[in-house]
Parts: sequence; C-alpha cells; structure tokens
Amino acid sequence: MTAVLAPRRPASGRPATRARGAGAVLAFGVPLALIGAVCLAAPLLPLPDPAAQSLSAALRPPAWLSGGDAAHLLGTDHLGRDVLARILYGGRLTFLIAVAGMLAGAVPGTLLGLVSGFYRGTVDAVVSRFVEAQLALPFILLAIAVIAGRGRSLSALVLVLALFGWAQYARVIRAETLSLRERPFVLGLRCAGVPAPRILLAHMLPNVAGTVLVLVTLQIGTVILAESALSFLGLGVVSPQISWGAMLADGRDQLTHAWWVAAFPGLAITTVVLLVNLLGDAMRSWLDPKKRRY
Amino acid sequence: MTRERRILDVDDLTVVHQAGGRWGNRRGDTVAAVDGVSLTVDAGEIIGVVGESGSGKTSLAMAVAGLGRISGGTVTVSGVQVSGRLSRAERTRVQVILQDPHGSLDPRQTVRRGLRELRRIHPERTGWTTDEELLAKVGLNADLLDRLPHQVSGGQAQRVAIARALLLRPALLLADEPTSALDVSVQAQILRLLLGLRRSEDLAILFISHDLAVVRAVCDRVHVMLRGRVVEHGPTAEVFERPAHEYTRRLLAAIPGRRPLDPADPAGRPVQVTTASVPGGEP
Ligand SMILES: Nc1ncnc2c1ncn2[C@@H]1O[C@H](COP(=O)(O)OP(=O)(O)OP(=O)(O)O)[C@@H](O)[C@H]1O
Ligand SMILES: [Mg+2]
Repeated sequence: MTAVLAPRRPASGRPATRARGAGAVLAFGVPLALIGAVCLAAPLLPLPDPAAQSLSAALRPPAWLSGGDAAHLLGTDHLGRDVLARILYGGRLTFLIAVAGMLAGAVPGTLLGLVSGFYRGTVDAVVSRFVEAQLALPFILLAIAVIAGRGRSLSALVLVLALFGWAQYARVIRAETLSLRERPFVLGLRCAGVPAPRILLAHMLPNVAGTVLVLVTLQIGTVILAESALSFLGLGVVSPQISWGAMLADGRDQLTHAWWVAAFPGLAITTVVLLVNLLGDAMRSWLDPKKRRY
Repeated sequence: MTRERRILDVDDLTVVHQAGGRWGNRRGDTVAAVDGVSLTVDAGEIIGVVGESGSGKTSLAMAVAGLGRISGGTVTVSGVQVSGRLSRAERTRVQVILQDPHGSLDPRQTVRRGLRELRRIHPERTGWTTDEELLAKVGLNADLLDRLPHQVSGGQAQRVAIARALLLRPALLLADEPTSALDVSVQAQILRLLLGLRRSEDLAILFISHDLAVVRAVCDRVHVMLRGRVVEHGPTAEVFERPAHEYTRRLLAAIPGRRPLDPADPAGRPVQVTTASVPGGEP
C-alpha cells in the first residue's frame, strides 16, 4: 500500500511526437538556412557582376538550352545582366526587407496584443478598432498612400510592410492573452502582489512567445510576397537595388520570348515562401503537444 | 477570542456581476453572485463554505482576496478593510490556493525562479526561510526546484502552490476547491498538510468546496451557501448531524455512500499512510 505514496513519475511530453516535430522543423529549416547563406555569401562566389550590362549578351537563354552560355548559368536579362547573380544578390535585399518588415510588424503588433488583451477596457477597445480598420483596408491602397507621402525608399517599404503585418499579431496575441490572463496562475501572481507590468512582460510574454514564433514564420512568407507585389507594381525597391519582386517586374515584358528572366526569380520566391510556410506549420505542430497539456 | 485573533471579517458582502459584456447592449442585466454574506475566521481556524456550482463561492473568495468586485458590505482582513487601494504588503495578507494545480503555476517558470521572483518583490516578508526549508514544510524534495510545472504531478504542483503562498507569511489562506482536481489519496495528503500547517503556522484558512465529506473532515465551522446567500452555518458537527435547512439536508443526502469520517482519514477512504510519511501531517 505504500506504493500509493510513491512519487508519481513526472508527466512527460510525448517524446516520439516531439522528435518527429523537430525533424520536420529541421527538414524545412535547413534548406531555408542554406538558401539564405548562399545569398549572403554571393559576393564571395565566382559570379559575374550582377549590375554589369552587356547588350551583346542580352537575353541569353539558360546554359543548357541552345544558344546558352556556360558563363550565364540561368541566362541573362534584356540588358545582358546575369540572372543567377541577380537572384543571389537580390535574395540579400529580399531577405533583409522580409526580416525588417516582419520585425517592424511583429514587435508593435505583439506588444499591442499583449497590452490590449491584458488590460482590456479602453486600450483594448481602441486597439481592436484599429485592428479591424487595418484588416479591412486594401493593402495596395495602404502602400500607395504611404509611398505617395514618403517617396520610394527602403524605409517606406518597411513601413508599409509593418502597417500591413502588425494587425495579425495584435489580433492573435490579444486573443491568446485574454485566455491566458484568466488562468489561475495569474490570479496567484496578482494575489502575491506581483506588479501588472511585470506579469505582462515576465509571464504573459514568455507564454505567448511560441505563438509569436509560429506567426513570424507564417507571416514572413506573406511579407516576401507583399514585397514582390509592391516591387512588381513599381512601388518597391528602386534600381540599381535588386529584389526578386523587382526582377519579376523587369522580366514581365520579355515573358513571351525570354521566359527565364521572370521565371527564375518567380521560382525563387515560390520556393522560399513554400519552405517558410512549411516551416511555420512544422513549428506549430512541434510546439503544440506541450501546449495541449493546459 | 480576542480581537487580535480575528483574521477575517466579512460583513454583509454583496457581489454583483454584470451579465452582458462591456459593449453588450443589455446593460441592465446583473447577477447577484454573493448576496449579503457575513462570516468570520479567527487565527488557527478552518472555516468551510459549501454550496453547489454557481452558488457564489468563487465570487466570495475573489472579493476576500481583493481580486474581485465588492458591490456592497465590507471585507476586513486583520483589521484592514479590503478595497481597491491596498498596498502591496496588505494585499499579500491573503493568499489563494486554487482548484487547478498545474494551472496555478506559470508553465514557463521553474519552481526556483518563481520563488526567487516572490523574494525579489517582497524581500522583507520572505527572508524567514530558504527554498529548501520551504519545500520541506510542504513535504517536497528540493530536487523539484528546477522543474517546470508540467514536470511535476498534480499533488506536487498543489504543494508548490501552497509553498508559494506560505512564503509570503499570509494571515489567511484562501483555498478554493484545493483538492477537487486531485485523486483521492493525494487529496487526503493535501488535506492533512493543510491541517498540519494550520497548527504549525497558526494559519487561518477559508476552505471552499462542494465536497461535503472533505469539508466535514477539516473544517471547524461551516457555512452553507445557496444562490449567493448563507442559508445555514454553525459548528461542522452540528450542521452535519442536525441540518436545519432543507437545502443542507439535500446536500447531505447526496454524499455517495455512508463513509465514516474522522480527521485522521479526511477523505474517508482506506488509504494507509503513516503520519510520519506525510511531512506537515503532525503538529
Ligand atoms: N465574471 C462574471 N461575470 C458574470 N457573471 C459571473 C461572473 N463570475 C461569476 N458569475 C456568476 O455568478 C454566479 C456565482 O458564480 P461563482 O463562480 O461565484 O460560483 P461558484 O459557487 O464558485 O461555482 P463553482 O462551484 O462552479 O465554482 C454564477 O451564476 C455565475 O454565472
Ligand atoms: Mg468556483
């Protein structure tokens, strides 16, 4: 009968499931990291200058097609610039904009979501109305308004992406904070005299961090697409800066006779966005089993 | 009882909840969850509040803890009236133990970090003991300090919650269904721990439960609540042997099985434990 008193085994997560989840995260995270690393290392690679024009070498097809040139593996654009080099160099700016735009939306969005879910009342009412307004506003209209006001620049682009992204974070994190604040441990903390700002930053924030991480990976794909759309519409990066969206826009006019100019940056966007979304899904199911305990 | 021994004095307390939300249009709808309740708890006493679901027990508890609405009447803890403007030290005079043991702890915080946080906020109240001594008081091994809540059992989590409450040296421990989520043998251990602490720490405990067997085993006096009102109160034995109110009789009739109950075996089930194996189980 003393067995009744033996300390119970600490409840464990489901190791098998957790391990499989981690495997999926790696399966999508590693290729993504590799693509990022190759783009970052572009200046160190034996590549032609991405800005070097050569009208005599304009619109060369990829190396494996007839008329292709081994010096231009993925062909050249209408000004004779190397498509592969431009994709790798353009990836740097694309990633930079994606990360900056994502952070610029995630940080204020998360904080506003935390504050409005935790304090509720007037703050919440105001934030929630802004979230609804933002989610109802067409993205392109928002972009045109900002760029008309501030001119085309990287900072304007990041601002547009931030304005575009923050509401998603605020909405999801607010909902999560609302349910979190009703959990008994928050009552316990308040009862123990833990100041509200400390509960918010030291207890709510770590508990929503997993959700933020998942949102970030799901959002970053959207941000890359948004940047591409803006650049495609001529609202994004300005030449000589290169991004994948801008390359797509450049290739638009040659689509019928030189498909590779637009197809390869398009493929790069698709691949990266797909990997990022799969990574987001993998992270969600990786983090979930533990959450389901509560 | 001298006046200094009076820890809690609830006088004609009313708690009214707004039924509609903040932006709801049915602004007039209200629920009187607590409707003119008076009760007292003295040092070293365990006072029970029983009643079915929705009778207002938690609303009463939250008001007493200074965490809930007080619509009318007064709550006085150690001579200080509970209101919205309590100092941090005054607030900690009442500590709560809640039903969901795992939910009572921050899932991302180890036991040690949680205690360190409390020590940093209340350096003047918490210096009286070390983490190891504190855990020993509630019958836990010090190797639990570096665990996260999901790495301890329900009973252990509830002991950690009790330890966190004790660290702040409260005058009143407010236990809202502290054992309802635990299985019977663990339930008995936690009850025995509370009984022991009441003596060793001279704690006053307001014990809220819908489980009459548990209330009967630990409480000195009991209040029976029905729809926000106390319909009957008195010494536990008296209320249980000669229930005056029809509602109390029905509650008593609903206790499954006629188990003999004695304080040494609070859950009334044959769990063989020696008091020595339950730290805090003896005075
Ligand atoms: N925040 C709230 N807003 C509106 N109504 C509430 C709120 N909290 C409680 N109530 C209502 O007040 C009444 C009493 O609720 P309370 O939670 O105090 O009961 P209880 O005795 O603790 O029940 P249980 O045994 O189920 O925990 C119920 O009718 C409930 O619906
Ligand atoms: Mg309740």
